[in-house]
Amino acid sequence: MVGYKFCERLIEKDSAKNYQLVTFCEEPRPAYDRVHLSEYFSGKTAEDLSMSKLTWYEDNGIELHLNEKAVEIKREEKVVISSTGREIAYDKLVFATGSSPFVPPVPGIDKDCVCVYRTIEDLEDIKAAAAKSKSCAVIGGGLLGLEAAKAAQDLGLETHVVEFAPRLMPRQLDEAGGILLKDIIEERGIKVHLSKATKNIAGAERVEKMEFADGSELDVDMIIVSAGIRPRDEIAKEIGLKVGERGGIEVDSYMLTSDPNIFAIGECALYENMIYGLVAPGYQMADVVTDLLLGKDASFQGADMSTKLKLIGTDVASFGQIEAPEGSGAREIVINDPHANIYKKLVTSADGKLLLGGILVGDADAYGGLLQMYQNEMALPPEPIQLILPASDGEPVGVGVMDLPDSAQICSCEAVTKGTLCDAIENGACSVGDLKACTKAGTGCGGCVPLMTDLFKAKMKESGIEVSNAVCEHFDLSRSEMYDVIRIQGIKTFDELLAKHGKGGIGCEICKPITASIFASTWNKPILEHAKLQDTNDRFLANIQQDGTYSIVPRVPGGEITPEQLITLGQVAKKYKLYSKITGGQRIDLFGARVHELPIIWKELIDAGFESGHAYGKSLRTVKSCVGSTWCRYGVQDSTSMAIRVEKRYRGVRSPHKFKGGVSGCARECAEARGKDFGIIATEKGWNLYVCGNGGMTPRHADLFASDVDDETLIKYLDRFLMYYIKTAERLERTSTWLTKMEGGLDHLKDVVINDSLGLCAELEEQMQHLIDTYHCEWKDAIEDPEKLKRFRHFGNTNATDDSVKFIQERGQIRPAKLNEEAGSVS
Amino acid sequence: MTSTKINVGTTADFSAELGTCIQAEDQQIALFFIPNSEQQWFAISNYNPQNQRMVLSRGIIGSEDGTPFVACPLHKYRYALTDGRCLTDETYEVPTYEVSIEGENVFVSL
Repeated sequence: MVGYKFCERLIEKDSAKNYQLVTFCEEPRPAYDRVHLSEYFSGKTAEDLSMSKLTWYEDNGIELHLNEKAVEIKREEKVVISSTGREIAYDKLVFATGSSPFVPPVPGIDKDCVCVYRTIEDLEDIKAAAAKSKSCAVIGGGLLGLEAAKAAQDLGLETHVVEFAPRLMPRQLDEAGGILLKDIIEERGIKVHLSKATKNIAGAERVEKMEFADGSELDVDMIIVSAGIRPRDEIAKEIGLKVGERGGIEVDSYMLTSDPNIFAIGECALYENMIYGLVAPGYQMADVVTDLLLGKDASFQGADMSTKLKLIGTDVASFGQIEAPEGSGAREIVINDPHANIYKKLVTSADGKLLLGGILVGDADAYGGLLQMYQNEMALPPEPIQLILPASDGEPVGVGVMDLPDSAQICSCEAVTKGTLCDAIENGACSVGDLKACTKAGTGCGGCVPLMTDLFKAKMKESGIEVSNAVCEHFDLSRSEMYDVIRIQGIKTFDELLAKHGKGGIGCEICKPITASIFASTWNKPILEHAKLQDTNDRFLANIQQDGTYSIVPRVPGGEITPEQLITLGQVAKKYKLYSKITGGQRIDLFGARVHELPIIWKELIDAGFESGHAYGKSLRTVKSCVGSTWCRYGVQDSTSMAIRVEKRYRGVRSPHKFKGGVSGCARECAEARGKDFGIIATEKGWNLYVCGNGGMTPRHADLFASDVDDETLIKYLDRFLMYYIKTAERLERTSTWLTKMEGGLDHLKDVVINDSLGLCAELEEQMQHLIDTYHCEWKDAIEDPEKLKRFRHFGNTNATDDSVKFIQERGQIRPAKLNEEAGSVS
Repeated sequence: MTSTKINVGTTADFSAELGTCIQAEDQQIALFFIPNSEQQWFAISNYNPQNQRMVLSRGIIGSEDGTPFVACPLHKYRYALTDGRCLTDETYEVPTYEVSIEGENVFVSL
């Protein structure tokens, strides 16, 4: 990553193209994002994680040699020799060789199913080992170790963390913080073993048991070693560069090694006896060297090791000094609430005026502000404890982002200051996404995004633009707030809602359909009882087309259809001269019906056993499936039956936007389930559930949500997931956008749906069950009610039909006439 | 200019806040009844000049800063029911017609 950043910075700065870049890469792919490596398990591909496309190197004239390690350097001749024997002459050389996992020399460590956690290949090994294991121990309870433990747990393994020190994350946490973190992690089902030195790993071929120095033992099937890193300094050592006693290429503040033509940056460099194993300092070093190469003055002065992470669903952050040095007079302010799973500590100067450091476990919302206060040496308020007290009803205490000086660095990975961000906003960046794109802030570890969002909102407010979630001029509420109000206060008509919570007027085409949709998601009465609130599609239970005619889509659950049903659809299409097309959701769409024809056509369809497909609604569309184990020689589960079950379960459920599902019978994924709002993919042991995928305008692969679950668990999670979406999403927000914007992201969603962290699950399940129990076919309801049928006429005062609609014959079917196209028309 | 007054039905034929398309001579007219407004009865052409389709009677009724409007069902262009102005794009405008109620009967003047 640091090597890549070096290239990126040099290309940016070297506009005169003074330098030609050649880079060797031992791995088979260019640099990728190791910070988010664990996301490889939740569905990101190597390509998703890549820092940039292969073409980027080409486009910028960088000679990239993949799968080719630099093996020898001749300093006198200034030549690098690679593993393929290639010789490249250099003027300046930069080591950005990173580090390798430290594997302690324990007997048995070479057994099968002992893995490390650093590269994509390592993750592949872990996956393979997990497939033949039930339990896993992670050696090392540091930051990476806990990430690895999470990955192991997500792979469905009984997971243990074994730490040599008496507490978890000994570099970032003090004793009390470590105890709380241990409790939280154990609550999440990962067992923690502290003060354990591994003496021997027993087993015939593969791992069977770990034996510890204190005589205790632990039966496990696989091990992930995450016991620290070792700088990759082998070549540096061979060619006689100065290296530290415990490894690391020694550098000065110019990142220069003992050879004036050789630099070292990132995790392989040793600066003032310290290895910086974080991304941000590595990027700073890359910045320094690129500046120096272009003749600018720059130097590295050490870097802050502050971090904020989400580990196993828990916030953990620390910065500066985590303990008051003895005899310094510095003081500690501590909040420790094991009931709420929160531990917060501030270290202040003796006079209480300056913040020297701190620790946050369980709730790290204050991190961004505290870090700024610490880095900018800002004066503490008179009662510093207010900075870490849980939010109460009063004014939020803490350092506001607007109080920061313009020089304050908001994004430390990309070194972006508040001033730069403010400039970008003033120059027209109109969303946090824009800010990321034009400043690169928030694109590294992402830890500063909440602070950026605060800054963005504050700047908008300053210029008179409120970033408001209000749906329209008639309500100050967001859609999710409207949902809560309607449900909690039992509101059943729009007029009542408008009277109690509106701002006057009679509503509009935004708030009326939202209300109708929420009524349906809550009370589930036939939607035509609220006809005046419905947009045309819901008012006429069909999809309006460009010429004002409608299309008709009967439900075909799972895409399974009998020959008789196909014949009926064909006969109806022929009789009413409808254009027929197969949809992407495995059903049949019949186009060109006029308002007055809709009930007549639907009468025939319902008599033949069809029901509404809700293609016109913001509701479940289809659950696409393959033939699965019933027909396919590769299928491992009956995907068609599952798709039918799920589609029938959620048919008619109204939601903030349409949603779609897919079920594949094996990992080949022929149903393209990961492009859906929920995707179900069969495994040998059950089903993997993926959520929040999308095709369309902003494609997104769904994220792995739960692995190898049985039918009933799958349905339970789906019920909760969908209802939580219905409850909390904004108007026209698909699940993918909803998740992207969700604070805490996928981990939060899992917490809510799987661990019931908000205590909502019973309510969500009950509400979904209510919707399922009160399902009705909207078309059946309509054609049985003469009052509703009256509205399906083009004219209110005559039985004439609309003569403005014209069709043209094309490829044996009709299509709407284009404007001013009359010739050959058949009406 | 002579205007023709046409009986288009009785008040019971028109649901509140649901547009109805009326055939008056050879024209299509969108008629709206909004009880909670000053004017209550409105008639505009059913033809939306923006997309050139006969669809306005099928739009949703709303109010913008107190002005009642219908939003076209196709692309949501808003037309003021009071004077036919397009509130979304001022280059468009639709004709409006006078509605009168005599006893139970509803009349539109062309």
